[in-house]
Amino acid sequence: MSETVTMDVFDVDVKPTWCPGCGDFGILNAVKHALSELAIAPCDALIVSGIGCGSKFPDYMHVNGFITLHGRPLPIATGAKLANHALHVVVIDGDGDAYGIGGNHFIHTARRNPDITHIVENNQIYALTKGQYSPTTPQGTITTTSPEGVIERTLNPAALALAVGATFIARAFAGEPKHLSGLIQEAISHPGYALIDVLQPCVVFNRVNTYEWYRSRIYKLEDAGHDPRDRRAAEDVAREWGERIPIGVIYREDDVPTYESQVPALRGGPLAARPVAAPAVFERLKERFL
Amino acid sequence: MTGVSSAPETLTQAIQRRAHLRSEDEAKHALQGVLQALAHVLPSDEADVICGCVPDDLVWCMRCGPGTPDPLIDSEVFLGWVMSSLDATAGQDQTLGGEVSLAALAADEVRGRARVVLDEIISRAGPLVNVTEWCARLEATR
Repeated sequence: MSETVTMDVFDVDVKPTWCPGCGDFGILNAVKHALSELAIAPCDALIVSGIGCGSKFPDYMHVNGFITLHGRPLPIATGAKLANHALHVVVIDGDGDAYGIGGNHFIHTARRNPDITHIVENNQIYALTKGQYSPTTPQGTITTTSPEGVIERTLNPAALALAVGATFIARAFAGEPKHLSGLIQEAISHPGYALIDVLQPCVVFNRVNTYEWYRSRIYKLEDAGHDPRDRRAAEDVAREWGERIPIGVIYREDDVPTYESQVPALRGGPLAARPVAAPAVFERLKERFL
Repeated sequence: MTGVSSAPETLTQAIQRRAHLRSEDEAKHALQGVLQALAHVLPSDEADVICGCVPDDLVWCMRCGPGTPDPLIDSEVFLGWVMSSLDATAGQDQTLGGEVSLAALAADEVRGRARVVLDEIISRAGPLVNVTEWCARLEATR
């Protein structure tokens, strides 16, 4: 029987440097709540992030954390999962990190299907660097790097994930953290790569997609009778954006084997569970790097 | 003879005056933000009481929440809903070639607006335990 894990075990003394009202606060609360509901202790979870406002996340939780290079959290997380299958690995990064600079990793991690939960704080802007357009910034938006409006067509993360073979795809809204927590719990429990694209208001650099803007458009898929196992329906829902924006589980496919369960080199079990083959070498490495 | 209106001050007029806003529209927008935030954190009995003292065309704001309080909404997320009402408080960052809001200034402004709205609601609706608690929580974020 698992022990109770309360939300406050994830608290730290560090106060987030996010702007007051930032959607990241709701996501932080939802992640803590989800881990607590699943009785996952801080020592059993790893949060990997990249660069961006939301990528400061590991600093704001008492949990194993790894802040890596811009756009690179997914390969780092995959490595961690391959080394230790028992770890609950969660990647938290922004739309610029996940879909822009790390876009290639996003595609290949989705089709690879490691048991990783990927929470993307999608505020449709590079906010940490003060407002450059990202792949999810709507076409025509004026930003500091698109003074006459964004030229490129907007990337649709859910549709792309579906196209490349992701086995769990959800969309959420940071203004409703309890609903988000439920989705995170489903994603962590899903055996395989799980994407949650979180619509996150940036109160400073995105003055269009505000809390109010989302509230007037979002509806919950579970209330609409959507069947996430129906791929055709998922394709329609993934593309829906505009006057109505669906949140909830868009698509799931639970019987696809995970990547780590198929890697020949890991037939003998995860690396973390194996004895050290050359203790002297290991000691030398520890001495040098720790 | 100078005419002095004796009509009672409306909720939005009071918010405009106390928060030093330029227009009643701006006050209405701030009220909208706070009501939508409250709709996500108040139990239905307090929400019903508030519905009785807000303008009819804003009652929908109190009905837009999930129906039960979301325990994961903290004072920062609460402020986010009100941030939507902020258009003007900004600094200029010429290095980036455009107007860039300064979040720190905006936060003080939005906390002030939210506080005025909550105080006015309490003064009209009577003591509401949860609304009073949210006043204290917002104050603690300063």
